[in-house]
Amino acid sequence: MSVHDERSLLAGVQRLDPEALNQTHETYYPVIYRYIVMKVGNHHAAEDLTSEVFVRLLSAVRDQRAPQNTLRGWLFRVASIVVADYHRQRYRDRDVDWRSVDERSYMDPRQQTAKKEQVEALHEALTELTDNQQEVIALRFGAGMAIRDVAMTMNKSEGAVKMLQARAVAALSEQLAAWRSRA
Amino acid sequence: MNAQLEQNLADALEAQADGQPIEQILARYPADAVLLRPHLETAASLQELRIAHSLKAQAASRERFLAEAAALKNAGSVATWPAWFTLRRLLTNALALAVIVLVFGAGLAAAANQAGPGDAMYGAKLVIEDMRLSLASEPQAEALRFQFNQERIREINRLLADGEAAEVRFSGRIQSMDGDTWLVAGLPVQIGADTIIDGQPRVGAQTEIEGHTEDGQLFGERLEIRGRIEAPEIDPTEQEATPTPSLTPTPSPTSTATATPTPTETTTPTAIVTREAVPEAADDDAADDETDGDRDNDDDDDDDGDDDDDDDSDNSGSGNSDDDDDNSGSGGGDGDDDNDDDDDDGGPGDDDDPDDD
Repeated sequence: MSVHDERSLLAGVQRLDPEALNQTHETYYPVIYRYIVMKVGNHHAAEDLTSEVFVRLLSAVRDQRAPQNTLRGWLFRVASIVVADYHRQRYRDRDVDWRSVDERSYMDPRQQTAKKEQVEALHEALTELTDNQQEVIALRFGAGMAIRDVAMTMNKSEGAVKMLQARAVAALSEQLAAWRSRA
Repeated sequence: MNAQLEQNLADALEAQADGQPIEQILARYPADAVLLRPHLETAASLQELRIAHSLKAQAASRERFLAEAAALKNAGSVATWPAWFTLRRLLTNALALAVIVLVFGAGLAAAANQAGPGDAMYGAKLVIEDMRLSLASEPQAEALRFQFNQERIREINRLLADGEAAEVRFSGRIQSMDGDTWLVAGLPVQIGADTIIDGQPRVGAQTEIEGHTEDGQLFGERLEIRGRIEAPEIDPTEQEATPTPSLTPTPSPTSTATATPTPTETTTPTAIVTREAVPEAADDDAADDETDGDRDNDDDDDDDGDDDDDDDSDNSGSGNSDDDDDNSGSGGGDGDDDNDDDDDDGGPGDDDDPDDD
């Protein structure tokens, strides 16, 4: 989506134009969802949290504090906030089984067990990374963002993001290796 | 992991994201190939993990989103403020001002406007606000209530900065609940054993607060928590009957039966709804205060991409992971991400953070 398109979409959102809102939701839902699910490791929660991000956009419009320049950056930042809230809640409710991974929509049943283990291992390994490392992994590999976009979203330089990604992937490798050795 | 290896890994990951096969990439780094391989394979597994979202869930979210937007638009509280509205607002404000000046005199009205809690003229200021509210019609009243609440928050910030004592009242969303200090509309509210809390407090909930300032601290005496509206029930008609939970700090006599719906204040049916306390306050700030665009939990902001705490792992690896797909997201990429959140303007008290609702 070009800058012009995004600005135009944003203007439509501020007017609560149904077509613009629909396009916004349909454009950003998949990537926001993938970003979130990578950070929370739970499909049900990710669906709810993704939906919450869009509801907050409406709240912002209502309160006349909608994003002025970029919708995408705003949505991802709100998504990160929503995820942070979720983790706080999870921290409080440590006895809740939040880890259950719902693989219903993307797993081949024959690979289910192996895949589920892989998902759990990856998610567990991800939680061992620093916040910034998790963020870059979720934006790069979850949302599928280009380095340039990750840099803008994280308010870092592209060079910084590349190095951060390298360290994040390396750290993840180590965590996974440790997990395999335990398994 | 030494600096050179780290740089090579960064470059290799980019090449992988561009779709180059792992073997081809590793061939460029013969000395480090063994160490790079496992990392590239990890990246490849992340790519493979690419999880599809549920179309059903997406449709449900869209339906909720559009329904709430329609309810919001019907409520007319925002968005549709074209020229006629601006004109009307100006006329109404002019009328209100004329009445106020007539009743109070220009000097008094101006002086009152500058008054803060505890000042002799403060009562007049509130009365003037109430008059303006009573002369306004929705959605102007809604905007005024918001404006007046922002003024309350600014006043409280001044009181806190000056260490002055005064009774205060304002509304806003709970942004964090860290022990005895809750962040509401950007203001740290001290919650004590004697604080009366009506309703189920949780992050994100709209709250009316009565309290007082003293020695640079804001003490909550009574908090009235307003519930959020569950998304599925956003029947516009029903919404109209829902009293607005917000933004009216002043005890306006204009009980304007405004019944402004607040359709957007929905909550997700997940665990996040039931939060009551927040373990990490600092982080919370960051989360809430998205204005700065910078999250507190950054482990390292420096531009070198350095993450202090990270380990120097060394291994090798390969894998392939091209950056997939998609679409949508990367989309925007406009370059100016600056984000947006300019919205929050600055007022220390502005509770507008996107997150807080």
